[in-house]
Amino acid sequence: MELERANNHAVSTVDLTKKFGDFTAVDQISFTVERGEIFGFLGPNGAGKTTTMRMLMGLLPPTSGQATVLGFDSQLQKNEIHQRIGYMSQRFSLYNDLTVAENLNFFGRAYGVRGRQLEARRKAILEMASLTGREKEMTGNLSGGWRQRLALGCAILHEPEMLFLDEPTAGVDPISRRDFWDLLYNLSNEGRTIFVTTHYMDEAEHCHRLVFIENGRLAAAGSPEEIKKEKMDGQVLEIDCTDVETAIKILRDSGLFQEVALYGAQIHVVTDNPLTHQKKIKEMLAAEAITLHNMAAIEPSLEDVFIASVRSEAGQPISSSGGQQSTEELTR
Amino acid sequence: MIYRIWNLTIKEFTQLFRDKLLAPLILFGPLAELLMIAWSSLQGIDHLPTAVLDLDNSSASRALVVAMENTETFDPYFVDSLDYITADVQGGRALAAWVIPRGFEAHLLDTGSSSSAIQLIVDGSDVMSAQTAVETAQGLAASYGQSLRLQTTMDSGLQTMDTPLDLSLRVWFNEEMKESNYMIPSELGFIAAAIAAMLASMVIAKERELGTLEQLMVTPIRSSELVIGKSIMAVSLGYALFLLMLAMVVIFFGVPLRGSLPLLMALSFLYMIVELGWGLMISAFAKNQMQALLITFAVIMVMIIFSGYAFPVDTMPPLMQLISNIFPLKHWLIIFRSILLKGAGIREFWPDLLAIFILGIIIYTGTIFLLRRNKLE
Repeated sequence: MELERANNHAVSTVDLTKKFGDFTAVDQISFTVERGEIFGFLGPNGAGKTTTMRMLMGLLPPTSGQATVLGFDSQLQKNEIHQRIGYMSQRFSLYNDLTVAENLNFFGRAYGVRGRQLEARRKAILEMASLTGREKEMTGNLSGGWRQRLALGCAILHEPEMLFLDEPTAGVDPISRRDFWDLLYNLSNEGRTIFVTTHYMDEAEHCHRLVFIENGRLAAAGSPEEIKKEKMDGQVLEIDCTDVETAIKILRDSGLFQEVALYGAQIHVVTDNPLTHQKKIKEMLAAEAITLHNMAAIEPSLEDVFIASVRSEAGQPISSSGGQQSTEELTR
Repeated sequence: MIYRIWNLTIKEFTQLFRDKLLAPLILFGPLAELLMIAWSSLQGIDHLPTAVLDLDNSSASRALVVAMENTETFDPYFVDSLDYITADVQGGRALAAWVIPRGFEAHLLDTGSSSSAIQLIVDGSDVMSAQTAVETAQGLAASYGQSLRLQTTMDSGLQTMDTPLDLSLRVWFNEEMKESNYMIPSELGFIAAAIAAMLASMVIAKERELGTLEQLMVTPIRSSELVIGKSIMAVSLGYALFLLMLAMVVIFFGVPLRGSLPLLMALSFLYMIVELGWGLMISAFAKNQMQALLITFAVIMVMIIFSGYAFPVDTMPPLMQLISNIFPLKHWLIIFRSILLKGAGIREFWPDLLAIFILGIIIYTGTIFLLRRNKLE
């Protein structure tokens, strides 16, 4: 049995579906997660990420289809699953009116960790989360990054085989986010499987493998590189110029490109004919008296892929608002 | 399983005692309420400010006012005209008013005439005070009239008259008819269980509100363990409160405890578990603490009306009397008063005890069904 389990995937779903009345939140999703990998679950809000995760953990019964986690059936063997996983929900659900140490003790004991083992684990967690010396502080008084690390600590105190993280970095500052991902890499190196939902594209690049979901359906799956190769027909040109706003407008109006979007101070243009189009772009910008500082073909980021895929999926025309804003709208 | 429940119970108590508002409110709120009810009902209704318009101004009228004052129900003060009486009663400065007409004394002394009239005006918007004023006044009129008549008959050398009917009055279980012996057990019998139910519904709703419930649902903690852990906290707090209040009213307010204390303690525990079921049922669908609190209040209000807490069940319309049977509180108040005041045992009140058992089973069946269906999500 143990051996059989060990050979299994960490997660495996077959045609997993969830309907709420007429609304299909998750539509026949099938994917697998291998043991020990960091698996990213991506998609805009309302795409069905949290619903899927809740079905995997046995909190919601699927309408149809099947899911196993660590070789156990999500519906029939949820107690087996609960013993072996750690979960960090979107809101870092800790008890604000308990101290740091009390939260750790409570969640540790909930998993049956006790006595000297509990002491040792608590100490290790406090060290990991850089919370040593703040045990007696009230959890409600901690700021975002600390709360997030404490929530992670509570989820891994019982040394679970697998971790489910639901948007673990939402609302946390960039440095804390970076630190947090370092912790996740360490956990992954210890052989733990990590299943993480996010809408930060830079974080998605950190995952070993990922899936995109879109309106409850699987839009893409694979490693970040595979997804880029598969989903991106065309190349990305990065343009650095003056008067970015006018530049975007004329580039969009030309209708030559699959995608024109603003990334920080630069413009990303997706094209399947980079050589010809580079010349065209130079001419167009010169005609409007825009100075071109630099233009180069770059490796597409997941964000480029994501936007391209979401837009084509929705059959949506390229909007005239700034690219960065529409990214925010889509991903938030 | 026991370890997990213990873990939850410890957590609940830690959170409860850390809450600077909830813990004192739960402990001292009911105590203060009980104290106030005890005091006000012990004191009874007396010293009502009373306006007196004495148009006779005779020794008989002054004697009447003194007799009135001696009842301690009335605190008389004199006014000069009817207008003052109207103004004072309307303005709430007087709760009662007497008008002694001109010729009061003369009329009294004239043995041949019919009885003499005085007028009592009471403020009917304050029913309790008005009732007391009327009862006292009737007693006063009777005794004053009788002593006067006695005097006149003796003066005239006639034999004293026999009253045709001699009423021998015996009040059982509450000899002095103290209102406190009715009100205090009502309050005590009900408030601790209500607090336990409210607390249980609130602490479960709190987890749901804060999103920690979902977190708990993916730990090995089962729903049943969660409910038990929270109930232990609520019931032990409610029960401690009950015993504390019971000791207080028996020791300080002289409410008699005539029946068996162990029986009372055992049955009150049983009753508290039954009422807790309401709280748990509410927690199955209340989305946050505010909802839980408001729904609990609504249930409590209905319970109070139907239970004989304030109005005796026997005087309700037949339909309401029938409905009142589905409220455990009604049966519990009967049992509680019987043990306290009548020294009764199970033999006397077993039908009510049976009713509580049956209602408990119904409530818990419903609660478990609802909790299962809503999965505590």
